Amino acid sequence: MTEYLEPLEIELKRNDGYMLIKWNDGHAGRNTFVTMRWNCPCAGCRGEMGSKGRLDFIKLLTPEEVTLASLEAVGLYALRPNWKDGHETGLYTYEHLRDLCECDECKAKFPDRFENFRLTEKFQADKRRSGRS
Amino acid sequence: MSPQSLEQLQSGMVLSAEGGDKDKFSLEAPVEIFKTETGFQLKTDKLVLNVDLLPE
Repeated sequence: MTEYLEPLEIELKRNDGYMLIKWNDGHAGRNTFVTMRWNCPCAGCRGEMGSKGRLDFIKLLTPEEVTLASLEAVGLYALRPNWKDGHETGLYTYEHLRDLCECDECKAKFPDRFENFRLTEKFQADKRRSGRS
Repeated sequence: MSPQSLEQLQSGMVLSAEGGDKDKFSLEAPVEIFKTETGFQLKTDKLVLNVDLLPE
């Protein structure tokens, strides 16, 4: 069992709206940019300290918001996407990216993770309780 | 392919990776860069990143 979750290889499919990730535990993941953007972890998007964020008040994302312009690896724990609309403050930890994985295996294992593209509170609470990573 | 020629592939693109405080690297640092059929590949000892080019 690997102690730290980290990607070994990332294949950006920017023209198709997703990326493939080969993880160090052998998992072959798939993350769509739409789901990533709806789950942007920055304070402006998701809110903080009990206040709502921008994503709580919108129903649609623009094409520019879900188009990946570039990507930056941050230390050994996260990726920072730079979206075509200029947004670049979301640091996606590897653990968060794994939660957002939409490969067939993850979709079957956690079929009710998302509601309107966003991770449900229940999923996140269950995860905290179980301590799974 | 040099970082300079890579930048010419798609001007304005920022693509970098950091391997921690001891071995930071970016396009300006010694990262291996290869041209691929659909774009390019950045390779370090910890991570391989394949990037497809967006149309202008």
